[in-house]
Amino acid sequence: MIEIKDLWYTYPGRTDPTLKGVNLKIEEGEFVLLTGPTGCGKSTLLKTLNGIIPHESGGKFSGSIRINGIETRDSNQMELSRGVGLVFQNPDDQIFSTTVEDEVAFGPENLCLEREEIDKKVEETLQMVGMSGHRLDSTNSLSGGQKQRICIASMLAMMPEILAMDEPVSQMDPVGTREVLNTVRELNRKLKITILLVEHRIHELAPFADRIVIMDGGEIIFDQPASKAFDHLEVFHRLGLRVPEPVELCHRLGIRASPLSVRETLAVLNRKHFKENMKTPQFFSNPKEDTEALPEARAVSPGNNDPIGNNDSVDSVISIRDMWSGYEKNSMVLKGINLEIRKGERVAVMGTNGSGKSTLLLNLAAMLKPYKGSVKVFGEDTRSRNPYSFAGRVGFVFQNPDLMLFCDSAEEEARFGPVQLKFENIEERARTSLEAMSILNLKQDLPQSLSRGQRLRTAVASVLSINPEIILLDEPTTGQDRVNIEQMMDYFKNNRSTLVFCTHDIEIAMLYATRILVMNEGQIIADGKGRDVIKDIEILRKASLTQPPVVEIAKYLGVDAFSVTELVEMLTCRSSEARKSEVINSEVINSEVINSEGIKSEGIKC
Amino acid sequence: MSLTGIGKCRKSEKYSNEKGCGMKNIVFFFLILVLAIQPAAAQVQEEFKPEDMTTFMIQVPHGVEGSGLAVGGSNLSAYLFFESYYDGNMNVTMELDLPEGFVLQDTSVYSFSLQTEYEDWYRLVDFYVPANLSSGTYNITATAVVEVGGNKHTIVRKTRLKVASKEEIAEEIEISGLTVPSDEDGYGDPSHPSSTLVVRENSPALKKLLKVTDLRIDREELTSTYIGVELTNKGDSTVPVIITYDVLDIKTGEPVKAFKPAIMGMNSDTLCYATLTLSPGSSSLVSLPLYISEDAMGGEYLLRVKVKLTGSDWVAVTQDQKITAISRKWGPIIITLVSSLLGLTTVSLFFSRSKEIMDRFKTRNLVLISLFGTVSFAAINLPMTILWELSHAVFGPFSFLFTGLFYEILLYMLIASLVVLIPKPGVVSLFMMVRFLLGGFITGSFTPITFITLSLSAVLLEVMMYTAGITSKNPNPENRFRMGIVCGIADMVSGYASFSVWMVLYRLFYSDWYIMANILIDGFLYTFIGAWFGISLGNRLKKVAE
Amino acid sequence: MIGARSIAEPTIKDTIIHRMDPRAKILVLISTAFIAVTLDNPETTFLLFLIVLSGFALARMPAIKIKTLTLLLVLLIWGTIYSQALFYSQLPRTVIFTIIQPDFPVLGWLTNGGLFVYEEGLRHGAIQGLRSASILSLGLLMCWTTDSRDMLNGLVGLRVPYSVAFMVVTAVRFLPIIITEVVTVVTVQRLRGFNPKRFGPGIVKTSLNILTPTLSNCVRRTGTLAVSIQSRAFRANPDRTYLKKLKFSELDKAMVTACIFAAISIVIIKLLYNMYTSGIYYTSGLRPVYAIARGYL
Repeated sequence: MIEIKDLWYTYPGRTDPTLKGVNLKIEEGEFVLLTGPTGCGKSTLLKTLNGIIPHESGGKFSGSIRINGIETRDSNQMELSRGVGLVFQNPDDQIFSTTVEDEVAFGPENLCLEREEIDKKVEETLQMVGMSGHRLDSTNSLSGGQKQRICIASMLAMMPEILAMDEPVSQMDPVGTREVLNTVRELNRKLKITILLVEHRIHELAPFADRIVIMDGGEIIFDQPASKAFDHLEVFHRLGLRVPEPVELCHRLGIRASPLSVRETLAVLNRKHFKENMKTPQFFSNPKEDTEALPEARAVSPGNNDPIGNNDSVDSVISIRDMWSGYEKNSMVLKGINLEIRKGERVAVMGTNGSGKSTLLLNLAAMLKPYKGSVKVFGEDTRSRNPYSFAGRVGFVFQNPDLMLFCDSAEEEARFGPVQLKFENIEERARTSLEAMSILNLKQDLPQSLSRGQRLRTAVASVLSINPEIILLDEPTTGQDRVNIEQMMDYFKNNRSTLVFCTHDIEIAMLYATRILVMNEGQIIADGKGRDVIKDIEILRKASLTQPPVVEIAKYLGVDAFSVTELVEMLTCRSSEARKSEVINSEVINSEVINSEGIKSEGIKC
Repeated sequence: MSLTGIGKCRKSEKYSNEKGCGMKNIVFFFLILVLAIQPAAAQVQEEFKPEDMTTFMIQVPHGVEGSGLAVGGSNLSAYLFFESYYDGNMNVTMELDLPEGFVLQDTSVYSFSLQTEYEDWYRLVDFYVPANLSSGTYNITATAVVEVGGNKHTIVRKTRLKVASKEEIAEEIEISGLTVPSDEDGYGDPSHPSSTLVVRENSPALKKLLKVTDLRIDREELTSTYIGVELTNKGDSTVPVIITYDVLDIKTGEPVKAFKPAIMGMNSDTLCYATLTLSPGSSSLVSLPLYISEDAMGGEYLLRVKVKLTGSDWVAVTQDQKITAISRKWGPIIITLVSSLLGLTTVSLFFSRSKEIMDRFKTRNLVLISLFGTVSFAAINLPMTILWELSHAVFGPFSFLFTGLFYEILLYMLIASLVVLIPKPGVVSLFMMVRFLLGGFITGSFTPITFITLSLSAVLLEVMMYTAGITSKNPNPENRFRMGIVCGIADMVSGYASFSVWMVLYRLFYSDWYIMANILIDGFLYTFIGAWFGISLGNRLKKVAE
Repeated sequence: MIGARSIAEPTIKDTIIHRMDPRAKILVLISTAFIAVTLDNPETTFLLFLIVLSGFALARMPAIKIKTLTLLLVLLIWGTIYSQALFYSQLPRTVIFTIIQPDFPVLGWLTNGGLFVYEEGLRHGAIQGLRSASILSLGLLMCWTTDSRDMLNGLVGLRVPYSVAFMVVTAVRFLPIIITEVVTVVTVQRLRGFNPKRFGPGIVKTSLNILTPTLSNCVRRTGTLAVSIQSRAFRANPDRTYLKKLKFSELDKAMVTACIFAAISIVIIKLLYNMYTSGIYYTSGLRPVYAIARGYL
């Protein structure tokens, strides 16, 4: 179906080729997951499939790409467009029509199909992606997942045999991700559409894929069936790629298996009798969180969601009492929020899109004033202050860091805030913040022309240079590489910054937040330590969140573990204890492990 | 005529005395003398018959044959005229006898000699009719005692002057018709709307243009027309009258200078009058010229026609008529027409060759232009929908200083940066088109003004950018100064045109200083700044695009 | 507060106005614009304004739209009144207030003899404001009763090239997104201590600060969007088909015919009348036409 041979491509104006002799063959009906670190050439490879490279882009192109036996370089781009549908990361950047129907009909109309045929095609494709009830909806009124499904539908309306998708879920909330992935899976399984999907989130996509292909430096360095791909974890680790938790768990337990789902993992662990070994569930606290001052976690009922009562703490930096807020008088987004945030806390705010996370952050920055109730930041009621009052004391990093960059160089970005606020040591502040984000070497570069990760780091540096007392991050993880996210979050953690951040990524929240707020329909439905919130399936379900696989596995095993490390520690300790008490049984297990998986038992030492 | 003849004769004598030293001249002199003296000598013997050989005439007031009419308080002149048909010398002593109560301003007795046939004498003798003189008909006598050859002959002439009260006179004279505008004979012209004056501008270039387009316009410095006034004398006296008019501010009653402009350095009052002697029971039509300066404002005026009796400043009769002046300035009309035609032609051309034009742009170009259109709409049009009106409502005419900062700078930043990104002809037009249609879709501003100004602006920018090499075959869009100048000039022109369109289509008024300030500051300065910084913005975006 | 949303978003209902074909609406708007700029008679202009306003009643516009319309009209008419009160240059004119004395240093000279508020200008402004008010009101009525997509279909139906229509659709689609982005950009800068200036010399910096990130985002988005559109065979063929088919109802036809006929008649009558008053063309046979123009138009 797709046959790529020795493909080289260099963008116009560049000297280094982005693709360096790529060879890849994909059979009809296959689901191939293409991954690799940022800048490895994945997206470029996708664009070669429907002829945009080189037909539209120009640049140096050599080698061969055959789609169904047709050489792309020699054929009409329009024909290629019909054969290969492209879906990109951000659905908002792909939809140009104002209604769903128009968007989907656009392709067939361009192909000059008859009106009746177009109508049929629109209906069919909307059905395929489960959006037939939204035919006449405005595209702007759809959720992220729905929009992405419309993008897929509009490609399907062109009747392609191949769908090439460039990080189609990286900007989705959990609900959206599920919607899109289920759609893609159905298309692949039922309609036998060949899928080539580029994604960093291997852990979520690997269960669907037939093959995993990894690119690095413009070359394909790894190409294995999904079932065997994780036998070579070192490749993933070396490239900083995220491995599914079950796989990681098994490998750390020394079990030579690569289960991709919780069910498979449990089956593997059952075989190894891990559950039987876990006789007395224990609570293992996250050593990283031991030193942090945390409120006692609990789920809160709407309308009375003050986790710490009404006593103002001396360390309290944010105090919200029965706050109602929104953009229109008769449609409040936040409905009766009570919240206390203390100095040094890192609060993750979770919930689906539209649950009120961003509105809450805007209130914390005094950019929005509550309609009812009060918001006190540093003890000052925001209603009596103008939006500039907290400039310098509250820093805000928005979901799209591109909207934060407007200066001529990264250094100027970092200097901007301190200069405006007439701070001292401007040079020092700028240098420190750029250094903290590892972009000091890029200080003279135009921020807008940096890579996506570098832009995020520049945006963060521009806020850090002000040294705000509270930092607000609105979904900073969206569309970003794990490396960038971790670097940023590590900095905040190490500096014990007071941090409030919205995220869909429960693992990031668990890893970095001292406290998690779960929001649903404008109310805080849970507030507490991550491990306590995450245990409550009902709360998570309301917020369309799912437990990380490892938590589910731990729960099944009857322990409280919230990361692979924790669970591995528990399991291996239990195994040792069990070994002491039940030597014979333990030996059987260990010998089985060694025999069946070929991994030494040192790997699972306590 | 005879006086002139004498004058000529005296001149020749003087000439002869001065030059008579030469023999030739002496012979010539005698010859002439003989010829001159010969016929005179022949008539000396003729008998003098006073009534046959003289004309003696008295007119009170001057110009009126028969009995005249005056009002108390008038300064009049009696006209005395004497002419001799006698070919000989005569001495005349003339005495004017005015009735009691009349105040003579001059001497009443005049003596003069007439030497030849057809020689005449006349005098205007000023007198004053006191205001308190009782009404009635007064006899005025002029007596001439003619002495010829030692004999005296008396000739008497009488005339009557009716002194009437103002009320009586006002009843006798009537303005029975007033036609504005009229032809040069005072008759109404149906091809011109009545009581309506058209004020035209007189720029030489415009005149030339109008001449070419065969539109009628006065070739003079001023527009001129006529007023036809018909007067009727219902009384039994002959009335000498002076007819004048004033064009007054309808509210203050003050004369408006623009309708009595100075003509070749002369006050137009000296030209804008007519005299007429109305016989008893007659009607007469006179025309008066009406000059309109190009500065004259349109609007409602009061035309006041005044009839004075000769010799009196008292206005016997007035008649007012409301007139409308239409200030039709061809400049803005032509600019509006040209701009509209240009806009329509451009759009028609685009529609007819749209595929060809659009195919020159890649899809990414079209998308980028659309998004720039959206940004311009989000950053300029939407906030300006209310802000523009609000600032006009608050700051009045000076709001352009503020709104321009926002409007022009931001807009031209966008245009210049877009051209840096896509240096192709047509990019500005497409951007303008998207803005226009977006404005129409979102705020309903499918207005003729928006269409004309945007299309003109697009055409000017396209042409100038192409000519200046910004979007030509080898485009060079990054010269800030050139971009600034090109955008500045184009915006000045389109700004001026848009004022014209506002004035013509929406009948709005703008002062010249305001238009000038607007196009210089908003049109040029702000645009220049916007375009200048737009290049920096474009360069940054170019790096992003790369 | 009247926001961008109340100006920009249509209110879709099922009324006689909403049901009109978008092409009919566009043609009615264009015809009315011609009529509005042609009329001089204050009474007729006012009547036209009332007719346009009655459309809002027929369309059963919600209170927020009526409030928005009222605010816009008040500002528009007041703006016209203000400017005309100052620049009125017809006689008679009565000074009711002096803004700049003729002998005021520099400004007196600059303004060519001072600046005054004229009583008659107020009246003239109010009458002339009705002209723009009619066009604005009808434009808003059209936008508020028509989905932008239908409007676009209407334009395509009126032979606007599809490429242009496509650009406009794209622009409309991204409007709310870009508005949100502009708001975000301003928010970000405020939190970094920058006070965006709407007026004054700081406008250049403010403009650049706002436009740079917004447009950078647009430039990035352009690449993806263009690829997405191209992969759906945009401009693959010289022609294309359309899913939607517009249909003129009998009422639409009648309405459009009446409006176009009225517009053409009024324009011709006024043109003839103006030629007559300018001394360009006169014929006695047209006297009744001149009378109509003078008396009613």
